Amino acid sequence: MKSFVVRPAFVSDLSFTIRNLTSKFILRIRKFFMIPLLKQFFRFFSFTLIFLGLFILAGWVLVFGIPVTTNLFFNSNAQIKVTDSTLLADSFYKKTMLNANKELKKLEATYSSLTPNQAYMVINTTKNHFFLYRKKKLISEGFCSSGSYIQLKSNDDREWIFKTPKGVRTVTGKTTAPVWRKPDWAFIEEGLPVPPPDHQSRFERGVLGDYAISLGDGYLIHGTLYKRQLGIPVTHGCIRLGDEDLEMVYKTLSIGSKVFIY
Amino acid sequence: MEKENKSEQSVKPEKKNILPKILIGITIILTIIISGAIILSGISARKWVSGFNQKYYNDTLELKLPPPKIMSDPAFIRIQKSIAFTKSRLELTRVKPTGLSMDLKDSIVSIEINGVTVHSSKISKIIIPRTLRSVQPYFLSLELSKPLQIAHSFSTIAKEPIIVKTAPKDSTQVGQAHVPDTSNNMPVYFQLAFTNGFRLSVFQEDSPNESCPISRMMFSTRIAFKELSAQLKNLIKFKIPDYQPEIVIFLPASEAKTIYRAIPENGFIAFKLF
Repeated sequence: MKSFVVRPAFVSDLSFTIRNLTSKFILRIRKFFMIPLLKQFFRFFSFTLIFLGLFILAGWVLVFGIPVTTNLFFNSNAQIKVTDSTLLADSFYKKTMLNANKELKKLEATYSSLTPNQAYMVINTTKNHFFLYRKKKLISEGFCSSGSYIQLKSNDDREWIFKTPKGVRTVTGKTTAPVWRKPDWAFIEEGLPVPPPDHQSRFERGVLGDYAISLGDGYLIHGTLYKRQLGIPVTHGCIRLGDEDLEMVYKTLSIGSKVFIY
Repeated sequence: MEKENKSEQSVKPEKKNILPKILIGITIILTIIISGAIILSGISARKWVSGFNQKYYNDTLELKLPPPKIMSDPAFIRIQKSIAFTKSRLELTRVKPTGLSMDLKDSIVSIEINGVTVHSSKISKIIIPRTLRSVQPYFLSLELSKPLQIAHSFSTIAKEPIIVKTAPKDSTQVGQAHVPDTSNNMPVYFQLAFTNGFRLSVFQEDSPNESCPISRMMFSTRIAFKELSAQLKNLIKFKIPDYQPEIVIFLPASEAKTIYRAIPENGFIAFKLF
C-alpha cells in the first residue's frame, strides 16, 4: 500500500519554483564552462583593460588637462638665440638697443633706491624669524615670537584676534625698562575681573624685558620671560625677542626706522 | 507530449546579458568625451595664442612698436623682458605694499614690501606651458610689464590659522580651551588665478616620507571638479573651452607656506618667465 501525503497547494508551488530555478542556474554554469577558459579570460581581461584605460585617461584629462596636445601644437620661440648679423650693422637697431639699455639701468637704479640705507628689520611671522640689516647688509638674525592667531571671545560678546600686523611699520618710540599696562583682554584671558583703567593691578614691571620699541597702534618689539617659546607664535600681536637680540635691535634701530613684517 | 514540450522550449528566446552592452555604451561615450576634450583643448590653446598676439597687433599704432625684425631679435627681447620685470616690480610698490616677484629665469621667488626684498626662495622645479613660449615674446613682455592681480586663490592651508578660544569664566578654567593649529601637518599646495586668465600653481617639494604625489593629485582633482560643470557645459554646447595657461612651481613646504601667508588677498605678482 502506498501512503499519500496531502500537501497544501502553496507548498507544491514553492517546491516547483525552487526546482525550476536550480535547474536554470545549473544550466547557466554548464554553458559558461563550455567556452574555453582562455577565451573567457581573454574576452574579460581585454575589455576590462580598455575600459580601465579609458577611465584613467578621462580622469587624467579632467585633472591635468591635455599637456600632450598643447606641446604638439606649438613651436617654441625660445630657440632663436643669436642676433641676425645684418641687424648688428643697422643704425636704428643700435639706437633702439642703446635706449633700451639706458631705460633698464634707470629703472634698476630707481628700484634699488627703494631699499633703505638706514638700518631696518625684517620679521617672518610664519617661521618666527627676524633679520636685522644695516647699510643693506645683514648684521643679525634669530628667533622671535609673533602673534598666535588666537581669537579670544569674551562672555560679554567682545573679541580680539592676536595677530601681528603685516606690511611696513615705522619705529615711533623707544623705551628702557618698560612697564606693561595690561589691557582688558589680559584679564579676560585669565578669567579675572577687569579692573578700572588706571588700577594698579594693570601695571606690571619686568615682563617686557629691558627695552621696548614701539611700532604704533600699541604694537611693540620687546623682551620675554618665556625664552623657550621663542620661534613659536604665542604673542598677542607684539614681537618678542631674546635679551641679546633685543639689545642689538634697540641699539641699531632708531626712530623712523622701518620694520617689514610678512 | 514530451517532444512537443522540447520544441516549445527551443523556440523560447534566451535572456541575453545586457552588462556587456552597457559597458560598450559607456566606453563609446567616454571615447567621445575624451576625444572631444582633446580636440577642443588643442583648439582653445591655439585660439588663445592667436588671440593674445592679435590683441597686441591691434594696438600696434598706439604702442609704437619697433619693426618686426627687431621685435624678434633675442638680445632686444632679453632687455625688454628685464625692463618689463623691473617696471612690474616698481608698479608693485605703488599698488599694494606687499607683493611677490617671480624670476622664473633665475628660479627665484621673492616677497617684496615697498620695493624691499624681504624674503627669497629658490624654486626647485618650474613647468611653463608651451603656449607661453609660442606667443610673440615682445608681446609677452608687454603683458608682464604690469604685475598680475590675483582674482582668487585655492589652497590646502589657511591664510590666517585662526584658533577660536572662549574666555574662561574664572581663573580655574584657564588653559582648557586651547585648540591646536593642525595646518602644520598639511601638505602645502595652492593655486592662484589671475585677472588676465593666467594661473600659478605652487606645490611643496615631494618628500620621500610623505605620499605627496597622491595628495597633490587629490588637490588637482578638487580644482578640476570645481571647474567641471563649466567645462561640461562648454562640451555639451560644442563651445570651445577657455584656455588658461598654468605655470607650476615647486618649493620647499615651509617656503611655500611663508609665501602663501605673506601675499595679501587679491595681491599682485610680478613675473619674469624665461
